Amino acid sequence: MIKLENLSKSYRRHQVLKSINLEFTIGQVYGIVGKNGAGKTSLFRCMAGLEKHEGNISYEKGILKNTLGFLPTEPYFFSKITGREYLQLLCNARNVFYKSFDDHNVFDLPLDQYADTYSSGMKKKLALTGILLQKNQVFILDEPFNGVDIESNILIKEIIAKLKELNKIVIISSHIFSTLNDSCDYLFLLEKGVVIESVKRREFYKIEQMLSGTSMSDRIGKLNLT
Amino acid sequence: MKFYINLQLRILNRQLVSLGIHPFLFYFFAVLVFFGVSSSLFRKYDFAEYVYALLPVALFSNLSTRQRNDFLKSIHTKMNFYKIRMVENSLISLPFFLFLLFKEMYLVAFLLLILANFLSVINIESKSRFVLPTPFYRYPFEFTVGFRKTYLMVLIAYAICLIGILVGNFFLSLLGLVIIFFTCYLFYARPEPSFFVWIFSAAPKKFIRIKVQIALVYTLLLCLPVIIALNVFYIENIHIILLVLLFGLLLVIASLLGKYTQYPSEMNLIQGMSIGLSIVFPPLFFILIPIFYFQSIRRLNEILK
Repeated sequence: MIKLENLSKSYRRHQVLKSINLEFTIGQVYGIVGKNGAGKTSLFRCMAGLEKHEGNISYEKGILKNTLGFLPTEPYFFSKITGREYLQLLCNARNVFYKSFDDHNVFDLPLDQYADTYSSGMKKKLALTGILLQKNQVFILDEPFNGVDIESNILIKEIIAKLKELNKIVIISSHIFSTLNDSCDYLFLLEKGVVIESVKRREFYKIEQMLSGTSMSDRIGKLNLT
Repeated sequence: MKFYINLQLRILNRQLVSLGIHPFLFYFFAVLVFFGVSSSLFRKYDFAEYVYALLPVALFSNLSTRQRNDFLKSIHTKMNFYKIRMVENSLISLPFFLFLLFKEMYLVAFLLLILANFLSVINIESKSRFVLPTPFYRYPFEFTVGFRKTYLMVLIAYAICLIGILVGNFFLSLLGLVIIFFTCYLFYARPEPSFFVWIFSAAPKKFIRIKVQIALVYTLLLCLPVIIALNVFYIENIHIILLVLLFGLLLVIASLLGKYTQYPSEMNLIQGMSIGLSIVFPPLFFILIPIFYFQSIRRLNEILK
């Protein structure tokens, strides 16, 4: 289990996370939803240990970062490094060894091409493959479905289901509500750094209603489109 | 266009301030250092003007990447894009141009200006998707990326070593070895995004130990042809070869550790100058490396705790 207690994060005077208390248990898939700037990515980076924060994050099975697979919204790739070398780098970092990556190339990526020449969807699939091959126990997937083709989206959903079956903890953020609806057991709605709603699967409709409740016509009017 | 150039200046000033350097002080000392280094280069070496004229080309290449040019083209008209790129390259070459005029090397000075304007309209970065194989596939990172970016420099170093052997000039061959060390030094010049440190399930000491081991093995691998050639043809100078080898490896270790001393920020001016001083007087590496080691451990503790 991962436990967040009074987790807060500020960038100078601007507080982006305000005293968040959450629990994530094994074998469950959690969705974090909220508008852009609500604090989702900051929350993930704090959990990963990539950002300093106030409050406490505890993980019952030891050091969280050493068994955490983190898929950032926009994975970074060095220029002049191939997909195969990227996977090797990620596996080396966790002392995991494979004879060949070809047997594990679930998205059929061109592993011998430079990763920075991949399309954005291919980059996301490569980064996801990397963290899956690291044999992690916890997965934080920030927008895993963005920019990915339909076939791969279905595959990612199946992978998430398999991770749940294997008793992993999976935390996802997505702006595509249907993907969360299909994959998650719990949803947390984050607004201005505060978790304002936590619901189980049968109550997901509440969050969907809250998200789509804002009137759009007034906003579009501000553009004075002619 | 005026706004764009002003914006670039503002970005540079902000970067200086974030490094704790007052922009005015930086520009003042930059002029002094530039004049001092340029004078020293011309005093010590024949044909320095040709090397000198090529130095800004390395700086142009940073501004002529495909991604950057595509962005500028997308937001400016074609004419303004060319104007901006010409102004940028001209501004970079200006100090070199003025110094060449000061040295009364008019032809080279004007060739530099022509080169600056020519390079402003092309993408220096290759479009090629050819993947250069490397012997560094087991631990791909700094050496894989660095070698692919600088393989021409390594080939030139090998060629210089070979020419030195053919003309019987030991020090020319030794220069080949020195060039390889400086090339490897550059592989560690910039800190990687914190994600690529964070992914390691190792404590800082172990992380550094593994990094140093990889750096030493891969540096020796790149140097191996030159070291073998030097030992075959100049065995009588083995003591000089070993000394250069030792200081070269220390330079690479200092560069690696230096990268993490201010991590995730880049090295500060003092640390950069310390490496510079150690290059001039290599025994200083024995003091600098332990200092960098402890500074790196402290910084990495925040990410690898």
